[in-house]
Amino acid sequence: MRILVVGRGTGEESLPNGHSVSFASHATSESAIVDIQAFDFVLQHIGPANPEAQDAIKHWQDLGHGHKLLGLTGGERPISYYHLKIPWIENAATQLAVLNLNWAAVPTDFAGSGTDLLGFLLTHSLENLIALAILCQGYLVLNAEYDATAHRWGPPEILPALTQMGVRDSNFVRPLLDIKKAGMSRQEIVREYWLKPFGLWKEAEKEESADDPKWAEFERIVKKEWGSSTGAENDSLTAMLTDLKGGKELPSLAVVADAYCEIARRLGSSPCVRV
Amino acid sequence: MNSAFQKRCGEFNHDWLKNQYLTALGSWLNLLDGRISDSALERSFVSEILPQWEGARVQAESLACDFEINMSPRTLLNTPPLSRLDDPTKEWLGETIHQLWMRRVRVSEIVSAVLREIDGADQAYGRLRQALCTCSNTESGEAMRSLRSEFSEFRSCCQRVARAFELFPGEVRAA
Repeated sequence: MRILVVGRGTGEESLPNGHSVSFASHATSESAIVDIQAFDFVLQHIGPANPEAQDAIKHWQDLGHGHKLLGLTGGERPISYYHLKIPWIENAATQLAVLNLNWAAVPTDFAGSGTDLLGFLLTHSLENLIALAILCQGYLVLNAEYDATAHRWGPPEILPALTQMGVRDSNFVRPLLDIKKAGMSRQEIVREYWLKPFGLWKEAEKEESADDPKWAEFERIVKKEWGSSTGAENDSLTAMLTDLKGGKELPSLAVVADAYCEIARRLGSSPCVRV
Repeated sequence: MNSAFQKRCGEFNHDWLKNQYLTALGSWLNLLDGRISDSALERSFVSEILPQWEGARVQAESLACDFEINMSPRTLLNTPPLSRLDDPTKEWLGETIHQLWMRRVRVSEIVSAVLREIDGADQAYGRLRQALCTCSNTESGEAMRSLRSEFSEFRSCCQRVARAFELFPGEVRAA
């Protein structure tokens, strides 16, 4: 799918699932309203910075492209624009905000209406991936060591993840961790840390069960949040969940670090850089 | 995710500053340049529109100061699924991810930059108000034409405030 976004800067970007987006500052080029034939959808900013927007929308609607149009605003849709019969995306004030819409949820072969597209873009159901990213951060920081001689954090296999997370120099002080690290040396406490947020930890039994139907449901939800055709690998995330599910051994630090980097990339954050 | 804070930011920067105040300042400069004629704007700009900055400045500073506490990923520990962690874990994990975020996003630098631009705009506003004291008629574009550079400087400062607010991440970022 090709998307044109008008009023949020210029440039071209690739989106998940093979979609792409072109940014243009205005809907006019050399005084003429641009041709949108080549685009599947147009997100048109409507506000004082794009005074041409209403004329452009009318022009495109007259040409039969009305089904491609969505309004875009950095705040809430002003009452004065209620007459435009188009779906709206609100609170998208910058190019980054547009890129952060949930494009990964839009199927590769999407052929629905603008309202359908909106339904996908505004579903931010990545709570479990976000929670896993945070748990990875805590676990990696907890197990990181600073080598004062080499002036760097380690062990080496988790350094790219640590650097991406923000652990970049000797000044990073791990809050309260000395106390917690002692507590986290026991395997069941570590397992509880990973599993409790997702309802997979059975308090009475001090363990979880791999046969618990909740595991299947959790894996289904994580897979859904990841998106079926994002093109991004999640082998390490899968490995980490498999280790946690198996209950025999904890995922290694390297697996957790790699899983974190995969999730960070999926969340649109800066990539981990191998050194 | 703290949608109330994001709503406040959107209402200030997008709805008021960019869509209303800067638009009005642009129209005012056009009026001073003789490009447009608008008697209502001419009468009301200095007395009614321009002073809106004074209340807005307080609001802008409050937003800048509230940013850290409202947009930290630590807030994610208050909602499921991470809210299910026990309290001691939330305490160390929350502080850890907050510190990481502060470094990763360079929060202090961003907040300082926003506050610096607000202060710059406020100083430009002060100079403009002082200059207006010397003006014989603040309901006449003609009489205020000599103050164009002061109005223009204030608008540039307000534009920088708007751009600085865009440095704030639009959502709570975990990674």
